[in-house]
Amino acid sequence: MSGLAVGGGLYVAAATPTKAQAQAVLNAFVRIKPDGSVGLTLARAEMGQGVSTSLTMILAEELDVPLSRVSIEQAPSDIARYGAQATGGSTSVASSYEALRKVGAAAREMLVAEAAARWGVAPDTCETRDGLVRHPASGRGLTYGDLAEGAAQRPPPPSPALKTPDQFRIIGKPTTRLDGRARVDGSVRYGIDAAPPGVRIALAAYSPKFGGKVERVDEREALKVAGVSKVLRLDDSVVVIARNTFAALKGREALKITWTEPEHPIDTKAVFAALEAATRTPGATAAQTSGVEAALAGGGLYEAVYHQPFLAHAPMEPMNCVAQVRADLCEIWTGTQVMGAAQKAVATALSLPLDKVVIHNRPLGGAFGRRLEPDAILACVEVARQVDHPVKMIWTREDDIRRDRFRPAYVDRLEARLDADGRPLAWRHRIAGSSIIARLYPQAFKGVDADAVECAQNPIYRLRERQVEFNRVETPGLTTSWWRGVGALRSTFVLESFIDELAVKAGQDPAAFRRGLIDDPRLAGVLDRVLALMNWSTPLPAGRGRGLAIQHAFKSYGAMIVEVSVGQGRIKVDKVGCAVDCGLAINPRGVEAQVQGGALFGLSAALTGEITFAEGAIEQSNFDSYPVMRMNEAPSIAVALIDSQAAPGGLGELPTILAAPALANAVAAATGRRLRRLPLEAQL
Amino acid sequence: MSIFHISINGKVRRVDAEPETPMLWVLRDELDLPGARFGCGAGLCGACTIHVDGAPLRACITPLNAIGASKVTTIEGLGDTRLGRILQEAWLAEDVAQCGYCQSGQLMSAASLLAATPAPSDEDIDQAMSGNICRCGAYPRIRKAIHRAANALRGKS
Ligand code: FES
Ligand code: FES
Repeated sequence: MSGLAVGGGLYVAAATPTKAQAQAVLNAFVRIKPDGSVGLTLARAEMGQGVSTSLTMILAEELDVPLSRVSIEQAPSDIARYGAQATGGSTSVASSYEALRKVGAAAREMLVAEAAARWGVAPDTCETRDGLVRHPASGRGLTYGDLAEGAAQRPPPPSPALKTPDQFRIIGKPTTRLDGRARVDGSVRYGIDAAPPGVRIALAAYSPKFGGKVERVDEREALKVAGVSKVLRLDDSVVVIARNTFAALKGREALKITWTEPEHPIDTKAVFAALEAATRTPGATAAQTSGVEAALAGGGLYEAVYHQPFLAHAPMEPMNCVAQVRADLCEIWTGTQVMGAAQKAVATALSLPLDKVVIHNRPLGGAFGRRLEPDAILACVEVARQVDHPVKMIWTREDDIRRDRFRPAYVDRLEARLDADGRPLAWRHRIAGSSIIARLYPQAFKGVDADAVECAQNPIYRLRERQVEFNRVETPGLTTSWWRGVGALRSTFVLESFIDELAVKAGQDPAAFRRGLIDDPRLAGVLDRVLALMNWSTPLPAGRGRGLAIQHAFKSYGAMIVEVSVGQGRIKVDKVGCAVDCGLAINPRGVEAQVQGGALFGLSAALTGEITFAEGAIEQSNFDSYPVMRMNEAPSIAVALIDSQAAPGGLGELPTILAAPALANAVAAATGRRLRRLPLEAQL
Repeated sequence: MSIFHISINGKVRRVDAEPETPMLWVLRDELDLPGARFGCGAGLCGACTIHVDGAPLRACITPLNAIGASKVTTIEGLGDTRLGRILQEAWLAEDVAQCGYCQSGQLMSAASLLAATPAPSDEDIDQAMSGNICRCGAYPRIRKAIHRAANALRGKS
């Protein structure tokens, strides 16, 4: 076996299948079977973003097979073959597009070469369509299935010819999700549904105060519960193992645990006081123009300070993991965004070689960045290693929210001076908050968190002189993590709120004000489109307002307008319009779903999302205390997709980051009150 | 532990479990019917919705010993009825599901709605569906799919 990298971490294996192998392995990602069906190995997690459909479309396009002939096979954990297998940052389609097209085109050329050789004709006199190679001049044809085994012996072409967009038959056509059926008949199996023979359920009890450790346990009552087989005492938790979930729940309730007081009891007020103080002192420089100090020294600065809370992820499927640990093998069933990293972490924890850790990745019941962390997997493995049967560790919703790794809280301070025409002459932006990058990649961290300053470092607006600083402030004892957009999310709320405030200060229409400060035609394109979509210039009755936000992030462009009614302490979102330019949209139907879902996720958080701590205890635990948007609160969302042939950009997070500022700007338009602290409903 | 015989999706199933075990865990742990999902365990999200004699109930707070002779339907049995099949097709046609985790519950709630109100207004939909959370934000398409199914039920395309 030899391998040849095609790019993007893909490997085309010039495999020589033995006769015994009925299937010809053209490469690690694409397998054409003797019946002509095609297996596409997916090294990305399907978490609702429709990535399996988009990637299937890309492959089927270049390979010239009907979509129905392609089936998705989830890649096993195998770093050497598939790379890190991480799914996050809205990168799946963008980073796979070229590579997957090349794989499809290479496979197609190998099949054509095989057919041409068999017929003794020139390859360029052959054509392909619907899984067939044909030679029109002689009327001959062979199926891909007939050709697969022979084609696999041929060297993969180093630079296969790709189709031009005018030749596309699949890419860019609105296409129904290919994996929809299992999601309407209950047959899809998520991680939480895994039930290997002999599996028992594990539930962990944690200190009600964040960071408390186990001091004393009395497990006698728990062990009396029918079905409870074991109680394990760990450092920060006590784990009940039982024959079924109900017994585990009752057993956990029956535990009597004394917890130590946390070393650093977290308190939200203190967290924000520390963050706010940090914005009063200089931070590490993320961007600085040469004349900024002189420009800022001129005085007359307009200042605004914005607060953003800790946020939980609360995917509908709570965190869970099934693991079986034997002396020489650890098997895991779960849904993770980071299969490669999880495999490594488990191997390290168990001192096993990497290939002795096998992860069966399941579809994810939502993730939103939460499943980029392997903590639940490691917690389950820690329990599973102590027993001789598979263990399914379930986090109840309360555990899922309280043991979450929260999106950091932030305070941003912005100052600007405008010239007589309202153009920003000087701009200073100080960001204070936790650095996720510093935790995960300490070597790479030099004071500025590259993720946290995303969009803020080089704002989309023409600013004559600017200074952008990052001040790392950690809350002792707390691990923060990714969310649906992190740096871009935080930045876009403050930048798009602040620019709106500046527009008001300059006495200009917020849309015209923005339009005068941007240069990028694609950004102007989405702005103009959303203004038309939402009839920006028609007036609204009293108590209602429209707010705008625009951004360029994840290699895509977006503009959103939110329309609200405000009254009796409530914000009602009446409707939303969003224009996106994500380059070539592989599946416009998928784009629409992503935009709607992303916008609602962002609006939900901006309205009510907030995790707070009082004397070390987290004050939220389930959907009553951590409310999320429901059907009766969900607005209609019009989506306008810009026609583009540019390289595909990311989309999972773009609408989410636009939601909070568009909403805050709408509330300001409706009420004249500027809310600079999220969530907004708490501020009314 | 006690023995119960309950009717699920048209079959009588034997269950040996604690009488107060929530139906969610009976279905998932004992009967290999994991289509009802665990989302909150407290009646707050609707992911576990099942029908008990046609009424949408939250399986996570409905104990086994409350079922008695009632007929239970889960998402696995939804397609046995015309209404269920029409709803599933509408869901596919509108590409409702994203991660799909909430969709068993959404479909069960929608089926109860349409059984009682064959031509629901948007307000009817709000009323019937607001107990079902979707974190992926599929609400606009759930709404469209319910209207589509209602039309199909009445023979309109
Ligand atoms: S799991 Fe039953 S309502 Fe949420
Ligand atoms: S589709 Fe994911 S929670 Fe509804």
